[in-house]
Amino acid sequence: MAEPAMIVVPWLAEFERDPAEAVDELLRGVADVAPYERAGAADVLATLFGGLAEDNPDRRALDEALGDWLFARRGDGPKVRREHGMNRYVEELIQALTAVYRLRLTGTAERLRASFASFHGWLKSLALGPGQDPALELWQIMALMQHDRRFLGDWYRLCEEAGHSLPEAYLTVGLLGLRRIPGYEGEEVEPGGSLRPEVIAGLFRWAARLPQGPASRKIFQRRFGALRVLYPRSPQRWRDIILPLLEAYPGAPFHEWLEDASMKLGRGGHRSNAVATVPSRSRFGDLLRRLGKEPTSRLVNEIRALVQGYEGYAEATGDPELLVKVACDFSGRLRRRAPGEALRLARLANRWQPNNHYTWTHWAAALEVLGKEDRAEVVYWEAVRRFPDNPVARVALADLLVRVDRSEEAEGLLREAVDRFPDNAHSHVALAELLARAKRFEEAEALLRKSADRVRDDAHCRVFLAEVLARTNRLDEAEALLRKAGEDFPDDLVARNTLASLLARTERPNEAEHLYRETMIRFRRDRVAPQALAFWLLRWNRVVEAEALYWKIRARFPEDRYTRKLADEIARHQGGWRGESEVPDFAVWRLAPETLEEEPVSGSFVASENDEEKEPSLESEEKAGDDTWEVPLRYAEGSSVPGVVAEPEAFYDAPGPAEFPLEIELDPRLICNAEVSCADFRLRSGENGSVRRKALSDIERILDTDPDYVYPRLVLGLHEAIWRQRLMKEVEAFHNAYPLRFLAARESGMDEQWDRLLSDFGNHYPWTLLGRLVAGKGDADPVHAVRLATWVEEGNGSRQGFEAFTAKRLEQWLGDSPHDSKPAELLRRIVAHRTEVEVLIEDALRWAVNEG
Amino acid sequence: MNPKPPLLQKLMTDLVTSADPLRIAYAHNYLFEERVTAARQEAYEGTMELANADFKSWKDRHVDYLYRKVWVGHGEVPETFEADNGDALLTGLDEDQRVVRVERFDEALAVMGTDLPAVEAQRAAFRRGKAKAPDARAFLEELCERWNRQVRRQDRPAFSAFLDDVETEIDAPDWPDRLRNRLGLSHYHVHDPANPIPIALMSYRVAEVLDSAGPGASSFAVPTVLDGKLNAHFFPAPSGVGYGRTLGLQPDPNCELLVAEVLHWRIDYTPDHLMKVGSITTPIPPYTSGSAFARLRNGHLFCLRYETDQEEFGEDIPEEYDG
Repeated sequence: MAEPAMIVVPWLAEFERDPAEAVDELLRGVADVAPYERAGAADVLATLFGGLAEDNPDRRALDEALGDWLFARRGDGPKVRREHGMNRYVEELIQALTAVYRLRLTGTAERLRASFASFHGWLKSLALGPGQDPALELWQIMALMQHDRRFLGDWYRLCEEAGHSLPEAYLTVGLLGLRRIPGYEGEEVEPGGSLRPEVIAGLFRWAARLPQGPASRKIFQRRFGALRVLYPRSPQRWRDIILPLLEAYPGAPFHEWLEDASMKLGRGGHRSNAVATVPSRSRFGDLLRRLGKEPTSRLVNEIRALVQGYEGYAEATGDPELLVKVACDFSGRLRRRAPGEALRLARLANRWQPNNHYTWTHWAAALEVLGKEDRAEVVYWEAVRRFPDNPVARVALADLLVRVDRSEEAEGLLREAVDRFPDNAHSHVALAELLARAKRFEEAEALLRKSADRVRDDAHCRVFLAEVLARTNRLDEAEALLRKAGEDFPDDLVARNTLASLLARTERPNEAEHLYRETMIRFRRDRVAPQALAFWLLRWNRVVEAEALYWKIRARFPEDRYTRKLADEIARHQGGWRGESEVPDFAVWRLAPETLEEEPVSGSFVASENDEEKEPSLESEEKAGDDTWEVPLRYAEGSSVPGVVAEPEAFYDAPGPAEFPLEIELDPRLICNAEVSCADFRLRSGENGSVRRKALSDIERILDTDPDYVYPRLVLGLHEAIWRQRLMKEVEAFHNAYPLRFLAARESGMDEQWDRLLSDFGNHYPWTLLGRLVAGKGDADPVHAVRLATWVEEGNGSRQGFEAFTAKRLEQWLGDSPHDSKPAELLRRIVAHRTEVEVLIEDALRWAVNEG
Repeated sequence: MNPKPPLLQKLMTDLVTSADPLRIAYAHNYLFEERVTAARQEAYEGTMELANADFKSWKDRHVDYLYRKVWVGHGEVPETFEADNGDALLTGLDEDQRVVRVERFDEALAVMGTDLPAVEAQRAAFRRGKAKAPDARAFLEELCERWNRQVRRQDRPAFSAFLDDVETEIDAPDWPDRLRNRLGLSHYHVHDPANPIPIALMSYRVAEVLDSAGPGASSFAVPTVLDGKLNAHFFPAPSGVGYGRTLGLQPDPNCELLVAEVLHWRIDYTPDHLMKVGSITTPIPPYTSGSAFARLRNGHLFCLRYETDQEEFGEDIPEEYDG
C-alpha cells in the first residue's frame, strides 16, 4: 500500500495564480477548496492565513483582493442581488467582512474606514434582520481595528440606541468599540489592555433607557456581569469608575440592579481621578466676559483648552450635551472674529451630535463666513433633509441663496417652509422680507396680514407688517400696529425697538429717546436699544452723549460690528465731520432664531448672524452690568477717541493643532446628498421643461455611479411613475431601505406589503400607517386610523425631533377626543388633510434615508 | 438518484469517469443518494439551470439552492424538515438522549472580544457551581446570545452525533482532534501549526431540539446530499439505515468507527450546552486525495455494505488513480 500523500489545498495554488479570482470563487462558494468544502469562506481564510505574519506577501495579496472584492460589490446594483438571492448575497458580504476583522486585514479596514459613510449606508440598506446585518459587521471591523479615537461618539451612540432605533446586538459592538478605543496621544494604553471608564459609561448610556422591571434587571446584570468577567478588578476600582458616572443618572433603576449584582456602592466612596469631571462653569463665564473685550487671538487657546475639558468629560461619560452646547456657543460668538475656529468647534459638535440640528447650522454658517458658500449650501441642504421638523436650516439656506443671486429658489424654499410650518413666524417673516427686498410690497403685506392673523401668539409678523407699511409710507397705520403690538406683547423687544425707530425716523426724537431709555432700563441685556439710541444721538448732533453711551455699551457688552461702526462714527464727528450719521439697519424685525424652538435648550445655541452679540447661556448668574449704566473706570480713564481705544478686532484665524484640524472639505456623500436634495426641490417646485430634465438627469447620473444609493432612487420614485414601477420589481434587493420599501408598498397597494412594512420597521410605525390611510381614495381600513390615534395617545416612541413633530401634527389632524370618535370619523379627519399628510410622509422618507 | 436534466446527467458521467477520486466522490454522493424523494429531487433539479456540464456551474447552482431552501433565514423552515423530505425525516427518538455537535468558535470569540482561555475559565466556574458564579453565567449567556444572533446567521440544519457514540473521543486529552477525525470534519484541517482551530463541543438533549422546533414540525432528519455543500467527505447512508454514517478521516478496517449522524433543527445555545472548549491542533490524516482518499471512501463503503447487508449499495472508486 502506497503511503498517503501530503495534504494539498488546491485553492492555494489558484490563489497564487490569481488572488482576485480565487477570492471571488471562495466567497461565492464555488472554489475548489477541498478539504474545506463544508467551511464558510471566512473560516477557510482564517485557517489558511491566520498564522501568517502581517507583512507576509500572501496575506497582503489577500488583503488587497478581499478589499477589491468588497468595493466591487458597491457597483452590483439591485439586478445582480435579485438574481443572486438576497440571503446568499448578504451572507457572502458578511463572510468577507468577518474575514477582515478575524484576520486583521489592515489595508481593507483602512479603505473601509476612509469610505465609511457611504459603505455603511449601503450595507445598512441590505440588512435582512438583526442576525444578517452586514452593517453590524462593518462596525465590528471599526471596533476591533481602531487606531484613533474618531469613533468614540459613535460607540456611545450605538450603546444608547441599541434596543431602540438599532438592534440589541449593537450594544455589544458599541461596548467592544469602547473597550478597544485607543488612548489619547502619548497615553501608554494598549487598546483593550485596561478597564476604561468609557466602557461602563457606554453601558450606563444604554441602561438609562431601560424601563423598570425584572426583565430589564436581568439583561442589565447579564451585560454587567459579562464585563466583570472580562475585567476582573478590585471592588474599589469598580467604585472609582462607577460612582462618578452614576451621578449623571440620579434615580435610575440600574443603581439598584448594580447593588443586586453585589456592587457595594455605599461604602468607601471613590477617588476623584478615575473619571473626567466637568470643567468649572466660572471659566466659561470668564471667557464670555472677556470675549470682545480682549483680542480673540489672546483667548483662542483658552477656549480650546476649555472645550477640550468638556470633550474630555464627554469622552469619559458619553454625555456630549455640555460639550455641544459650549462648542456651538463659542462657534457662534467666534464666527465673525475667528471663523476657522468657529468651523472647528461646529464640526466638533457635529461629530458628537449629528442628530442635533444646531450643529449643522453652525457648521454651515461658519463655512459661509469663510466664503465657502458652495460648501455651506451642501451642509444646509443636508440639514434640511435631516431635520424636516425644523425651519431654521431651510430659512438659513434661503438667506444664502438670496446672497448668491438665487432668489427664486430661496422664495420656493421659504414658501415650502410657510406651508410646512404655518404657525412659525420666522419663516413667514423671512419670506415677507424676501418679497419686500424685491419691492413686492403688496405680496409681502398680504402674506404678513394672513400670518399675523394666524400666528397670534407672536408679535413679529405684526412688527414686520408695520415695517412694510412704513416703507410704503403708511406711517400712521404702521405706528398704530406697533403700539397695539406693544400693548399685546409688552415684553417684546422687537416691537419696542421698531416703534422707537419709527418715532425717531418720523422726527419725534423725544418720544423715541424716552422709549429707548425705558427699554434700556427694563431690559438690561438688550443691546439694540442703546446702540440704536447712540446712533440717533449722533444723528441729532449730541456727540458727547453718544460717546458716553458708547462707553457704557462697551462696558456692558462684548464688542460687535455695531459698536465698531459706532466708534468710527464718533471718531469722525470728533474729527470735525459734520455730516449726517447713518443709523444702521438693525433688522430688528428678524426674529432671533431661537424663538423657533418649541422647547429651547439654550438661548445661545442657534446659529444666526447675531450670535456674536448673544448673552452667555450656560451661566445663568452671568452679570452684564448693573442697571445704572455707569462707566467702569478702566474704560473711562484717558480715553478721548473711541475708535483708537476700542481696538478694532482683526480677523483672526489661528492654525489649529494637529488634533483639531480645519476641515473645509466635505464628505463626498454629503455633496451627493445635497445634489439630490437640490434636484428634488426643483422637481417638487413644479418646474417643467429643461429644469426638470436637468434635475432628473442630475439624479440619474449619481445613480449611474452608485446604483444602490437609496436617496436618489427615492427621489426618482417620488417624482416619476416609471421609477416607481421599476422599484416594485427591485425592492427586494433593498430589504432594509424603508423609504424604498414604503414606495413599493404604496405603489402595489397590497395589504401584505403594508403589513410587512409595519412588522419590519417598527420605528416608522406612524408614517407607515399614515401612508396606508391616504394611499387609496379614502377607502382604507379605518382600523389603521384607530391604531394611529392609539399610538399618539400612548405617547409611543421618542418625543424628540421629527417623531415629536409628527405626533403633534397627528394630534392636530385627529382632533379632540380621538378615543371617543368612531374609526370612520378618524379616517375621515386624516384623509381631510391628505396634502399635508403626503408632505409629511415624503419628508419622513427623505429623513429615513440615513438612519442607522 | 438518477439526474434528469441532460447537462446534469452529462456532468455526472464526466465526473464519474474523471481521473480525480474527489470528483468521482461528488458524483457518487449524488448518484447513490437513496433518501431524497422524487418530489424533492424534481424541485432541486428544476433549479439546476447549468450553463454547461461544468462542475463549477453545478456547485454554484447547488449553493444557490442551499441558500434558498436549506440555509434559510430565521423564522423559515429548512426544506430538510419539510414533508418533501419525508424519506429522510427521523421520528421517535428517545427524548432524554444527548446529542453533541462541534462548532468552530473563533468568530464568536471575535464578536465577543474574548479568547478561548477566558471562556474555558468561565465555563469551568459555571460548571463547578452555577449558583455561586453569577458573573460566569452572565458572561456565558452573553457569549451565547451574541453567538446565536450574530454568528449563527441562518437557521441551517445542524449536523450532530449522539453523545455515547463518541464518548471515548470526548474523554481523551486530545479530544478536539480525535473527535474531528471520528466525525469526519475535514474542514477542521489545521493548515498551519501556529494557527490552531478553536472549537466548542455543544451537548443537549433531544427534547430541547424537539421543543425548539415547535409542535407539528419535524426536528431530525438523516443527512442527504442536498442538505449541505458538495463535499467529498460526506457519504450518503443506504436507505436501510435509520441515520447517517459519518465518513471518518482515517481508515476503519474493522468497521468499528462508524458514527450515527443526524441533522436537527437549529436550537439557540445556552451556557448549559457548552460542554467543552478546546483547540484542534493537528492536520487531518492524509487521506484527502488520490488513491489514499479512494481507499478511505471504499473502506467506508465496505463497512456500510457490511453493516446493512446491502451489497449493491454504492460503487468503489478505482484506487489506481493518484491525482
